[in-house]
Amino acid sequence: MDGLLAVERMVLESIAKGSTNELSIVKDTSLSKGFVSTLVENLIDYQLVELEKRKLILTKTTQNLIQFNKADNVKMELKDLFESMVDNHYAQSPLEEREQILKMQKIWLTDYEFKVMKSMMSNIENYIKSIRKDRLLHPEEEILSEQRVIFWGSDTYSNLIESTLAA
Amino acid sequence: MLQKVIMDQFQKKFSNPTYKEMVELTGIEQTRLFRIKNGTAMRLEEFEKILKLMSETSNPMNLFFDCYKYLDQKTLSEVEQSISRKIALAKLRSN
Repeated sequence: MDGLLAVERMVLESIAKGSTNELSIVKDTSLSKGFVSTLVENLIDYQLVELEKRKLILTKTTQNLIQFNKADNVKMELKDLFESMVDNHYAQSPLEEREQILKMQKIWLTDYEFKVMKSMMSNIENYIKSIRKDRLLHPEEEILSEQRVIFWGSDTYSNLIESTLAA
Repeated sequence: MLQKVIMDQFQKKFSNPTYKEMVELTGIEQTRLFRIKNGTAMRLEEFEKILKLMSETSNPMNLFFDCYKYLDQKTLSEVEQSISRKIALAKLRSN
């Protein structure tokens, strides 16, 4: 396996945002201490993380990170998260009380309607970018495990079906 | 390693068969089976015979066969990656 597991990525992100020991990673990620210890060991093995004066930091060389961030590897992480999103959506019950965490619509759009749709999706992206910018000026005490994971996008029905047929 | 895993599964599946029973099941000669059980590398046709027997009653083995029979290299690689990730995660959790 060449890529990172989503849970390994989570611990790596926690270290990147300033967690320097296992206890702070546990607080940030809500993972168990034993699990975090194993994951940190893995990240040290992958040479993505190192101990400096007993503090966990990202390794200074980015060579390994580039390898783990290759498109094919990131694709697998994305699939894992998306699969979890679908699983979590359908795990909720009863049906009528589900929080709508995942929505999918199939609709035929005119060129104009598609332009409007793209503009709305672009608005979502800009809104997220503006929040990131604002955080630089007004930092919040952010907890990694409480981050929202948001997916959006669209493709033609035929492209998606063609992709399912490629086997 | 793979041979040992397959032979162990074979033993479990058929409730530790005797050599005589193994001969009846596989059609492989008893002396040959004795050698295989003691570490001699299987020939491809022997491996196929044992896998085929396993696949007749085992769903994962059927899937294993069907993957190689029907899927192209790219999809096969994706399936392998996906299973590897699930196994890696399960190993992590079991630590």
